[in-house]
Parts: sequence; C-alpha cells; structure tokens
Amino acid sequence: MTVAAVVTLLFVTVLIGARGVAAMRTTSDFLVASRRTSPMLNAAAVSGEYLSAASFLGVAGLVIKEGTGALWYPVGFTAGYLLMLALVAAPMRRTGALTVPGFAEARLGSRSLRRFCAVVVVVICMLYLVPQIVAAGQLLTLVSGVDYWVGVVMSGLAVGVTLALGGMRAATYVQAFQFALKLLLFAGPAIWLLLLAGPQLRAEMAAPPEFTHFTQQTPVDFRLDTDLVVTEPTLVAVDGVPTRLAPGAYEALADQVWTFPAGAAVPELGGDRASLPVPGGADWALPLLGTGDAAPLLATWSVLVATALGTMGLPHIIVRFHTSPDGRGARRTAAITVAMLGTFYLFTIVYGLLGTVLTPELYLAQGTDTAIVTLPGRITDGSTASVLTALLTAGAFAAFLATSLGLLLALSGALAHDLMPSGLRRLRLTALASSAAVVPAALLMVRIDVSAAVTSAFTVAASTFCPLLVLGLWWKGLTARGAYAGMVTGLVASVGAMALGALLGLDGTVGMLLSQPALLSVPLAFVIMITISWTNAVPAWAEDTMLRLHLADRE
Amino acid sequence: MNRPRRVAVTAPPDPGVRPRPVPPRPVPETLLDPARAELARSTRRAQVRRAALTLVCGALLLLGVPVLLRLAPGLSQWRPAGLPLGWILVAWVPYPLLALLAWWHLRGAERAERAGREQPGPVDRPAAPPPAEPAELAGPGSDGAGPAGTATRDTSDTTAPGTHSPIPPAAEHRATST
Repeated sequence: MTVAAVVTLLFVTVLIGARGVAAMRTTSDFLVASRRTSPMLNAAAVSGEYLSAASFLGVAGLVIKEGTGALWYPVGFTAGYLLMLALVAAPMRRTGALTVPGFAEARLGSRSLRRFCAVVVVVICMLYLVPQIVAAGQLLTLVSGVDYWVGVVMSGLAVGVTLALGGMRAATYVQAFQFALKLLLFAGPAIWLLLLAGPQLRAEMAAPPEFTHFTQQTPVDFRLDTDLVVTEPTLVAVDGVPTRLAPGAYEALADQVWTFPAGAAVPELGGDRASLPVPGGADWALPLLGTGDAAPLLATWSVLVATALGTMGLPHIIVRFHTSPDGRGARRTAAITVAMLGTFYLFTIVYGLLGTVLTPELYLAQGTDTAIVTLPGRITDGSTASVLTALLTAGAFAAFLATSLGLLLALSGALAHDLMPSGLRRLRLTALASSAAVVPAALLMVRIDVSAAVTSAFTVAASTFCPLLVLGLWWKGLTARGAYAGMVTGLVASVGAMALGALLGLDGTVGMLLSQPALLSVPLAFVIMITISWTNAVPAWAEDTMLRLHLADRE
Repeated sequence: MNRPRRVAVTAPPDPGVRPRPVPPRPVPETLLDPARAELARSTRRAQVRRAALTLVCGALLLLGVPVLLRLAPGLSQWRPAGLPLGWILVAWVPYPLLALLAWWHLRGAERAERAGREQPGPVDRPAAPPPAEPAELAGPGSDGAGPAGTATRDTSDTTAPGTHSPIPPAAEHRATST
C-alpha cells in the first residue's frame, strides 16, 4: 500500500509537470512561468516548495533528539517570510532579474560577481539537494524494504524528468498541489492519531516520562555507528545473540539491532552526542536549544538567525517570487506564505510529543528522522496503521519531491544560465544532468546527518545572499567589490566554521558557535560588505537603479 | 482549469551567447525624472520606516521569548491548560502573531505605495531622447535576439517604459514602448 501511494504520487507529479509542456517556449517561460501566477497560487507554490523533508519529518525527529527547543526551527522557517515580505519580495521582483546572480549583475553591473553568485547558488543547492534525496532513499528503505538505491534513483528520475519536461510552469502547479497535499497529509494523520491515542497516551504526551528505563522489550536498530555508555549490567541481544554488557563504553555498529529487555536501564550516549538531552528529562522539556553546558540562549538565537535570514537567501525560493506579475503580487505572496506555513507548523508538536512518548529509542538509534512514519504502528495496528503510514509516507515523499524540484531548477538555472552560455535546450539537458549528478552523490553519502546538512544550507544562504539582497535593494552605496568581499567572507566564515566544528567536535559555547555560526558569520558579512563598499566610489547610476525598485507598480 | 491568457516575456540576455562589445559605463546620467526620483526616495523612506517597525516587532517576539524562557524557567513549566506554557509559547503562539504582523505590514506597505502613486507623476524620460530600439538593445551583455527574443511585450513589467536600466538584465526589453 505504501509503495502504491508513492508510485501514485510520482505519477501525478509527472502528469502535472507534463501539462506545462505545451505552452512553454522561452527560457523565461521555463524559469518563471511567464510571470502570471496569482498571489494565492504562488504562495501555495512557495510553501509547497519550501516544506521539505526537514519540515515534514525532521523537526518532529529533532524534538525527540534535541528537546522541545527544536520547535524554534519552524518558527524561524516561518519568520523568514516576514523578512522576505518586509525587505525582499517587492523590490526584488521589480528588478526583473530571474535569479540571484542575475540580480547581482543587474544591480551592481559586474559579470564576475554574477558568476561568483552562481557558484554560491551551486553550493547552497548541493548542501540542500543531496540530503533531500538521501532522506527519500532512507524513507523508502524503511517503509517498503526496497533497497536504498531504488528509492534514490526513483526520486532522482522523477524530479529530473518533471523539470526537463515542464520547467517552472509545471513546477508552479506541482508545488501548489503538493502544498495542499502536504498540509492534508500532515494535519489529517495528526488529528487522527490524537483521536486514536486515548486519554492515557494524551496525558503522557503532556508530560513525557523520562527515558531512563525500557518499559518493554525494545529492539534498537542502529542506523549509524553509535557510542554508548552502559550504566548497569545489561543482558542485550545483539542481532539475536544474547550478550551480557558490563558497565562501560561500547560502540554499536550501523545496522546492528540491539534488543533490550523490559526494565533495563537505557544506556547513555557517548562521544559527540553525549550532550544531547534525555527525552522527557528536564533539559529536554525546557524549550530552548543547546541545553547542557552550551549557552542555550545563544544556540536558540543562532538557529533563529540562520533559519529566518537564510530563507531569503535560498536561491530556489527567490526565483519563485518572479512568477508574480509585479512587486505588489510578490509582496502579497510573501504575506500569504507566512499564514500558510504557520498553519502547517501548528501540527509539528503533535508528532514531536507522540514520538517522544512512543519511540524514544530512536534517539539511541539515530533514526529520529523516520519517527513520524513509525508512529501509526505504535498506536494502532492492522489496516488503520498501514493506511496512516502510507499517507504519511506519501506526504513525506511529496516534501522531498517539491523541494528537490525547486532546488534542481535553481541549480540548473545557475549552471546553464549564469556559468555557461546556453538556450532552452541546454537548460533542459542541464536539469537532467544535474539530477543524474545528484543521485550518485546521494548514494555515496548515505551516512550524512540529513537535518544538519539542511541547516548548513540555511546558514550559508544567510551569510552570503542575505546581506547582498538587503543592502543591494535598500542601500545605494553598495558596490560590486563590497558585495564580493562580503559574500566571500560570509561563505568562508560559515563553511569554514561548520567544517572546523565537525572536525574538532568541541562541546560548550565555542563548539556550538562553530557548528551554528550564523550569529557571527551573518553580521561579519554585513560589516565587511558595508566597509569595503565605503572605500569604493559609487557609480552615478547606482542610486537610480536602487530607487527604481521602490516605485509603485504601474497599473 | 481554464488557462489565463499568456503574455510572453523575453529571457534576460544570456552572457556570452553572442558576445558583443561591451560599451563603457557609466551609461546615461539620469534615467528617472527628478520628480519621480523624489517620489521614489520618499516611498523608499516610508517603506524603510515600515520595515524597521515590523522587524523590531518580529525580533522582539523571536529573540525575546527565548530570553523570557531562560530567565523564568518556572514560567515555562506552569501548565495553564494541561501543557506547559513554555511549549505553547514556542509551538503555537508565534504563528498567529507572525501572520498578524505580516498582514499589518502588508497593509502599511501597500498604503505607502498608494500614497506614492496618487500624485500624478510625470512619465519619466531619459535625459537624452529615447534611443531607438537597436540602441536600447546594445547595453552591456544585452542580446536582443536571444534564443527567446521574439515576443517582447510585457505589460506587467515595472520598470518605466521608454527608459532602460543601466544594466540590461534588470529590464525586460520590449519591442514597443507602452
């Protein structure tokens, strides 16, 4: 049933994509659907494109793993559109440029800056796209037992073919359809599960018990190699072989299944995961991120800054606003998007709390990303559970597809349009070629942490394109050299800090700031961009170019 | 689904498709009519004030609530309706507030824009007489006969007709001035 649901979804996606082919003639048609989309439809498409696996599965999983503070992620994701509304949507639409690199050239008149922006687009898209495809493969592996590569190839193919056939015009309908679908498949099962749960489970959700002992015999299927610290002698079945563990440190290997008996003490996490809060504990229940010795306030702020500011710099979202007919339409699109996303995210906490009560062992197994689809089977059984699992899987798959479609479009746009000269035929080929390139990358990177990779894409976007857009749209004094220096600084600072953080694996405030550098790298990029611009002469036409973006649209 | 009437717009120039000599910058002295430029300046100022207000409210909400939760952990454990207040503050309260803030900003921004439009602004002209079509297409990187350069009318475009942006990708070229 689950496989049938996913196949139907793929089929409908390709079908809606094919609808767009007939009328498509020009590169602009391909990229921005000839700019005729109404604010409501466009907002649905923006939301559909934006709600990725990180929103559908990831946040609920993070609630189990990092505590209720993870609920700040979707707040930041939504607030991103408030910033988009206030700072970017209308003037950006009025530039008439199709992509961020196009904007950079239009506003600052530098061809090399355009190319550099295209490189940043490629970096952000890859950081975002590969984990989407990885997650799609993992999800299919979990629910249907097909091989990992089958899921990866299937999703890569569907996205590439849809895009090559219909381009953005197709994507507008596909994305709008997918938003409705995702909202339905997220909210519906949430309410259904709450009704099925019964009063006792609902009471437990309001105060999840601390996960210190296994309440029943529990198999823990480790997804990645995991350091564990056993606190009391425990009899564990490792892949079916009974093993007595003395207190001490152990490493569970990926794909091993450790079955703990009822009443056994839950081992603690070791290594770089030792600072994670125990599900249901006091640290877990405090709705701030980075509990333990890391400064919780700074960690929460850094995530909010990265997600809210990163949203405006995501290249696949920016291009979406150009499908509105004018600046006013783009602004309305952003405003409606805030409401649409907010509606969707209201239901996140249901899955997070249910997951913490019913599947806390996923926090040991590093499998929290798939908590949502395992929940129905824990609450009920038989056909109701399989219907719910199928619905949730289809929704999650819709999330992968919609986001991947937009990312692939931005990626092929940057490659074909900015980095290499080409026409429409080449753009279509690039879409196919990029998806073909992403599939092997996803096959190789089965072990990456999906949610970490997605947040890093936001951080890079916030540290590069956010200052470029804000200053470029509102400040006449920005120069090409300033923009260049600021973006290089932001890129190096964000990517460098995250790489360093991953290498060193430090704890505490320093480690937190290295792995979550937006709080420092974004202001740094702004400061460099402004100071270097001050040292340059501003061209005579700069003020005009900027002012024009704020004139009301002509009726 | 009935399809709306389609209006084709051209692709922006693709760098390097048909390389042309790039004319030296800076391009024209003044593109905006001085009165319109003044209007644009005041509209921009109004929008900046508006945006600043919205962003301060948004920042107070987003950055302030974590401070509150940090300083008063007892508050976040208080359960007025079964759930701890702290969870409600994170999981539900921000979304309607953000939507409200967005709606309020949208209204303000559109009002500021309307105020700018009501004055009958003169149609802006370039300082020099409007260049003939071929000249208009000869900007740096411009490629009027690009892969898609046939139908070139886009009434919904927002850059003023009869002018061209200093850097062509910003403007969609049109065959006829409207």
